[in-house]
Amino acid sequence: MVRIELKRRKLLKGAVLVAGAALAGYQIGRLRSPGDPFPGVGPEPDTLVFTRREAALLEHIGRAILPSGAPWPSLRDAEVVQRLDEELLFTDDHTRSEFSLALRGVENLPLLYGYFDRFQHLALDDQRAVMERAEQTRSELIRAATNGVRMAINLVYFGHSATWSAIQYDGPFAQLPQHLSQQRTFYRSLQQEAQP
Amino acid sequence: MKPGIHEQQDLQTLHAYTTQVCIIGSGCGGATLAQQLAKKGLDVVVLERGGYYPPEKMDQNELNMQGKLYGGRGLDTTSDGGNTLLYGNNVGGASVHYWADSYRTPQYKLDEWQEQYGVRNHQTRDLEPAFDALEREISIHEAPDSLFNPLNQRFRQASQSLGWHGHRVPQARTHCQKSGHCMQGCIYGAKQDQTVTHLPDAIEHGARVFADSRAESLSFEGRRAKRLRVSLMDRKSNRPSGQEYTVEADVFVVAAGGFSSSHFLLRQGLGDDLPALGRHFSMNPSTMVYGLFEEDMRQWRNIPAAWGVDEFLQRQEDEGRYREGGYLLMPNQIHPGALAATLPLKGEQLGEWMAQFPQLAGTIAWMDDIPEELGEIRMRRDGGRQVHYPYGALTRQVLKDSVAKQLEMLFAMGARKAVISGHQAMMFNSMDDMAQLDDLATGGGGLIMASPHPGGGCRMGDDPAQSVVGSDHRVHGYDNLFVSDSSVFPTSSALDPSLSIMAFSHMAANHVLETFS
Repeated sequence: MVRIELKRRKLLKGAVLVAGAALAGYQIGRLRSPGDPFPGVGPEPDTLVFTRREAALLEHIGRAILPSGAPWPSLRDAEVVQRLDEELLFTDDHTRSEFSLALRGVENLPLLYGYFDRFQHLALDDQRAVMERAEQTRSELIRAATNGVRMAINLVYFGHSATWSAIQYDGPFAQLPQHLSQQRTFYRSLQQEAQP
Repeated sequence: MKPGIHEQQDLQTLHAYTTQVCIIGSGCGGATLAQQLAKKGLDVVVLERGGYYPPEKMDQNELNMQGKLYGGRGLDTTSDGGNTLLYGNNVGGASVHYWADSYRTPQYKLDEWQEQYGVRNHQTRDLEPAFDALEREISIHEAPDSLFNPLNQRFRQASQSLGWHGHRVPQARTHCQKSGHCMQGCIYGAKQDQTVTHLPDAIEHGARVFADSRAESLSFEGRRAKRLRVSLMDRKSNRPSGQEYTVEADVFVVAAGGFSSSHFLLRQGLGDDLPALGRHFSMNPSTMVYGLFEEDMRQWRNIPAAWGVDEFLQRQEDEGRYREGGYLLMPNQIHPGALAATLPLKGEQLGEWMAQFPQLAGTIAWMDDIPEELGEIRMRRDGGRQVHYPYGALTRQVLKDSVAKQLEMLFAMGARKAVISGHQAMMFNSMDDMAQLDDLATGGGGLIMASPHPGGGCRMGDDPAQSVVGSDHRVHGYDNLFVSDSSVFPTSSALDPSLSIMAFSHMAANHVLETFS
């Protein structure tokens, strides 16, 4: 009954493992906890679901696929990582683990295209080149991983009010103020509790 | 407990509840059934896993409302990741975010279901009284000119210039404010979803709706379902609160929707005796194409689809080989987050397109699933649901043709350029670029699609080896267990299924009533 899904997960996990093993020696000195990948562009997001490494990777992917420069807000102004972290907190474990797996897939994608490094350690131009290469793939696994991450980033970036003036979107009809759900309020309270 | 909608805080002290009919799910199927049964004097309780979001809890913010109304927060996909599954997770179910397109089941579908799958007593003559009543009740009428936004106007003109047959979309609205937030929940109560129609009517006749209540497991005594264990959900964390209650009922009806009803029954272990459970799953896979225009289309205001093109609704073949068709074409309405998510563009090109959001508009094709290439709802090892859809050879041909027709439509509408919602950023500047379609990946994840119209998984028919429920909506082998939603459809209903679901629920109500007579 679950054979196909298991096969898919197994393959993706296998690819991740192989890629990880190949990198192990080279990366050993770089596996320490990363610093702020984009210092000076706003505070690093505090996350409840994503690890610091995943959050940094998401920012790298976002930087590679979203428009940049005026009039576009930064990822942090549009709270991309924060909002995805919040959304995933309220999904089931399976969705969270699939997303995490997709992130790991993208992180190790450069190996398939001749780079001897992980995604978040590449230069921006190389990151963009990797995403371009992935677009041409016939592999359903790579499509699933890159589509899933790309769609989620685009959804929350352009769903955020910080981008709306740049796209001439007038927001909710009659400019209704936000009415936060109990879950959104709960996420904020959890974040405050998690503050040192 | 009084008739009405009861939420988590109201159910804290509930441990056991006894009723005549327990309905699992409050969408088009469950709410309509509750109304029909309550009006006949039966004691009815409706269980809804999600929360209750009346207008005062809506804000029409795309992301906020997606979190409130959509199952899996709108992030669930088919197993290949290519098709986003859109379903309700709230009182009123998917009707709260649907477009309100309200079609009667096409005659050729009713014929197919009767002749090929043995469905009895669901022909036009049987359903017509229900359709007539429902159309009056939820104000179904053809979209007037005032509900055509610029995109719809242009779409209608282009279809006429192409000679493609079309129609005004029958839709369920009164006093529409043209906000364009049908998919975020109508704050004005203009869209005739189940929270403003059948549920209030059911409650007026004594029904109770228990929100935040997830059906877990049924216990059986012989051929009878006896008791349902229910988890009370903690709304703020979207997890079970740890508190449970039980419902004892004379009749149980599963109306959890096309994505969930068969999965619920699989979780009860019914798949061992009913090999068709979860199988024959359809979802109207929908391809989308976007175009950039010179003038403002502002597709996000007014109603989503006022005009539909039915020229290609039925598949056409030449000597047994597929020629074209098998889908309904419509204008698409989509707010910026979802639109950007489904655009295949990146970086500066994405910025260039999104910066022209008022001039950016597209179309959607609702594909009638191929009966021989249907999907399947499966249960994962952890008990969760997996939606598998195979994209067979004919399905891929239909999907590709639907994309080609949308490109033709967009250029006839005056688009300067167009892109297909998919993995590859294929840019079309005119019809001269159509040769690119030869390289279009139509399999898993190649096209990015959305599927808000699930069906099947509990197929109706006589043979327990080939179907799950009989024509009386009763699960084969059980005396008091019924299914009342789109999961009973033997194949896709081709068009938006909401009105078909409601009419079928009228039929289910008659059979439930018989058990009490």
